[in-house]
Amino acid sequence: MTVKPKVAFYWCASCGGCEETVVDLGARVLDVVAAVDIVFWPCALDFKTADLAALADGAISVAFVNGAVRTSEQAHMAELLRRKAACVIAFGACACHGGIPALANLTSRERILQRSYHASPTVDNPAGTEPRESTTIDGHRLNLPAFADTVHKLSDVIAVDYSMPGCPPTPDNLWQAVNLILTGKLPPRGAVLGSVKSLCSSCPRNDSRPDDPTIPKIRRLIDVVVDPATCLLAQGLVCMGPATRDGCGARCIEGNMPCTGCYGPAADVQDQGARMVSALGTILQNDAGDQGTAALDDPAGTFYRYTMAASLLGAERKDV
Amino acid sequence: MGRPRTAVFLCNCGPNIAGAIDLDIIAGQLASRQDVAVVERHALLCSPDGQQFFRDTLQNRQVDNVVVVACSPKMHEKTFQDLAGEAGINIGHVQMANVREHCAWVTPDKATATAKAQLLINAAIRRSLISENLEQRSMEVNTDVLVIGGGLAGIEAALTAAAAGRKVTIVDREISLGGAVIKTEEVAPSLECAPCLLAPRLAAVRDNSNITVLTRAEVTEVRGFYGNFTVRVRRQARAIEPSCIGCEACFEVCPVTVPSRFHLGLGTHKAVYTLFPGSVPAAAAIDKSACRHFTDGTCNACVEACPFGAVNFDQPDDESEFAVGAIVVATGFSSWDPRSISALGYGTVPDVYTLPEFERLASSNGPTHSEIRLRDGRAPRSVAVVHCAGSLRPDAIPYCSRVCCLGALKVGELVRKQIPGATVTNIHHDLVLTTPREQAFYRRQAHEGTRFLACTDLAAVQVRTGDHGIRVEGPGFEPVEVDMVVLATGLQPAAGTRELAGLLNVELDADGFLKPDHAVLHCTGASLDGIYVAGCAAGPCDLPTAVTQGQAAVGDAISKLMPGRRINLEMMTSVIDADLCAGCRLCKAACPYKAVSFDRERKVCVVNEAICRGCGTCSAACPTGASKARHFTDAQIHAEIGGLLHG
Repeated sequence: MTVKPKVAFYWCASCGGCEETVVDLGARVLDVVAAVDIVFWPCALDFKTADLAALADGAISVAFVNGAVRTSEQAHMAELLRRKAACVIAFGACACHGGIPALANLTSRERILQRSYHASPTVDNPAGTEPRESTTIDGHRLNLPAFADTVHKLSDVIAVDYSMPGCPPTPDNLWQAVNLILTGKLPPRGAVLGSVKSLCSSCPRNDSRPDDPTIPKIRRLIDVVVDPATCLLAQGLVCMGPATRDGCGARCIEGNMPCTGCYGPAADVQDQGARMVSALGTILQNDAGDQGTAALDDPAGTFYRYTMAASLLGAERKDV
Repeated sequence: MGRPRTAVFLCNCGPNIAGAIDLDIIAGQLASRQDVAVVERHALLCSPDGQQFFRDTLQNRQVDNVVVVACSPKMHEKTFQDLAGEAGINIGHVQMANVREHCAWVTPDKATATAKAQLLINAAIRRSLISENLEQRSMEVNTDVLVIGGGLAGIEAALTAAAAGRKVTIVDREISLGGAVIKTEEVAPSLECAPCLLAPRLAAVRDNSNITVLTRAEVTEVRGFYGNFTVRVRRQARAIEPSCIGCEACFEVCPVTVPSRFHLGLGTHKAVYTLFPGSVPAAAAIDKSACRHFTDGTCNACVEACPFGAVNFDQPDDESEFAVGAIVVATGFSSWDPRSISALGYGTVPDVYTLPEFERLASSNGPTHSEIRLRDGRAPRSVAVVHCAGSLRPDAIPYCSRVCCLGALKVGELVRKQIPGATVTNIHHDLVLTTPREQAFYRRQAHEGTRFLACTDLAAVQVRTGDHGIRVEGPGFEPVEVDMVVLATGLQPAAGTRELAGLLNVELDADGFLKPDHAVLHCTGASLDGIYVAGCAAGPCDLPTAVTQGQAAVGDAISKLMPGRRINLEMMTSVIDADLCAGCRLCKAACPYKAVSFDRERKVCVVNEAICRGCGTCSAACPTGASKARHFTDAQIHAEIGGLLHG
């Protein structure tokens, strides 16, 4: 009897959507379970860190790690998984590029604590208590993970073998990856498991793009009745599709919503946001002036929604 | 293949660099670098001796990359690229570190300058390590000329180029040539008959086998650059074949009458028409929006009347593409429309005309066959000419058109010649008469009876219906009442100038005329090499200037476009990686030279490297990194920035 490959799933700083992808495999999840041994999946099954630590180094064939890394616990788990797994896959936008949690890099640790524990209107904290890494009460010591200055993508913390972007990656993406693993057809280490092109290549609206794509100004979704057949960029909406890796199946576009960029930059691009800004600059009419971009309330959150931890912008404070 | 071997040359540039930067320290550091194989220093590397040294060193030392630590690449990059080429090193592997202009000359403290130079050199070395070959290609220049606009300036430009044996194409929107000048009767101050002046030139155009005339035509696309433009022209069918000689037999039978644009709406022509007898081309044209064959299919009269069988309702519109080496824009002007300033009475008070309209009334090819008449058919007994109508005011034309004064003076001449005893009054402020002949013309008009009333504020002039005619009043003069008022309106850019400038990728000035490359030294060159401008397309000018500019533009163009001459194509072109391109086409929109096209079959964009100028705009626009500017790839620029930031 052949030994089934051991697989681990873990989440760091993330919303749980990536875990949902595994569940969304539907009936196929049974095939996965039949083909592999899931040895660690705290979100769904009752495993403890000690179970993981007890495994021999390199015993896990593949660890799917989602989420960004900010706390000392996340960093510790990432390192532990790295030790135990022969292959680590950064699974989902947060692990690949920082994702939504990395938008916190636009502010500081102090301001986050200030807001969350003092200033927020819903906070009632008369004693001004803040979380501490170590607290002793009645002789008992309570330890909390350290809260770092910066949110990191997984590859900042440990060596990552493959990346699978997406918020979350689709079940099909996962299914394909599992098949690559089972058939031993994984590409060379370091690869992104996905397309090298951008979303426009598979966009059902690609043909509708006008020859002259210039737009007088950027418009917000709430300001327009979105034409369901025409290129969203040509309608003045910030569709991140041109600067975003293909692979999602254009689900948002099919839902008549612009791409928000969750699959990160295309293959040869370092900074997705800068690329998109540069591209938009070329299609905004020359005389658009400030009005052209007046509707862009949140440029960083628009162009770097999922990639702040991987961006050239860096962070307000970087503790690398 | 081992690691690339890099040679670094340090130039003292006399005391320029060596005096401000400690090159000993730099040479010492370079010698200890693993990625630098050769370090050489010279007192003046661009001198004959220095160049010899540079070439010999490269030949003897087996290096892959060269970094020249010297002056601005604008000074000597080409010098050292060529020398490196002679030594067998591809010029793509030559990198300048500009430590003179960017460092020695602007950094007073020697220690600071030395530290800064180290960073600049480090950036250049890092970049050179990933430099790639560049290929020099060349092509023979196209010596043909396109002239846009068949008025006086365009005609003279075309004839000048054709005389040099060049193939010329004139493209004009109208159905025949002649522009604005053909609409006037006599040109001041010589009072030569304008149609007579132009007729032999038009005939010369017609008979010149080097000149092709495309009428009812517009340029729709221009790609390429000096010596290598590809032009697309769309031509509207005239529904009349070139076998038509303009005999006018069809005019009599055509049942439809339409207002004539040529007569500025003051007269009419039939739905089949020419602008004037003897036009070039001679063939008539059919106004499809009016012709009954096209509107309701009920009329065939012209077909039956034509002795030459020239009417062809099925003639298709056509679009053609051809190559030229240079383009002369001679699209003329449009006259300012006074309707926007109601005080001038235009459009509300009958018998208030613009100067061009008056010219049409006085023209032998005009609607009244040169009889100056009021709308009711009477001859005016008194005429007032209002100078600067709409000019020199921010709400209309902010500038002086400098040619209207002369035209305004001509009104007296023409009126008196036809209507003995008629009075002419010119209401003016400044009189812009810039040559002795023009001033003599003014004195003669004053002597022969034109009355001149100086107005202190022409913007306050009111023209309205009075008790005994049209009343003109304003500050500084006693009101007058006259039969006819002529508004000396200024000149504006021709309709469509902005769109044309967009097609040609040339700049406009603040008033919307084509901006010259240099107002003094290159006033007939537009802002892009190989595009020229002549006549009023560049701003209001008189006829001799229009002619001179037409000739000068072509002279400059053809002196560079000599047959057999080759132009080097850009080496640092962009390339698009088809594997990465998603077909978003933003690069196509960004390219100012229209060098990018979309391959519909493969759904990727492709760069035409014969047209690409290497500006890199497409690479900046490309959201996927598929478009790469040779010699300026992201990796190379990142390496350079990295070298600057991390000494």
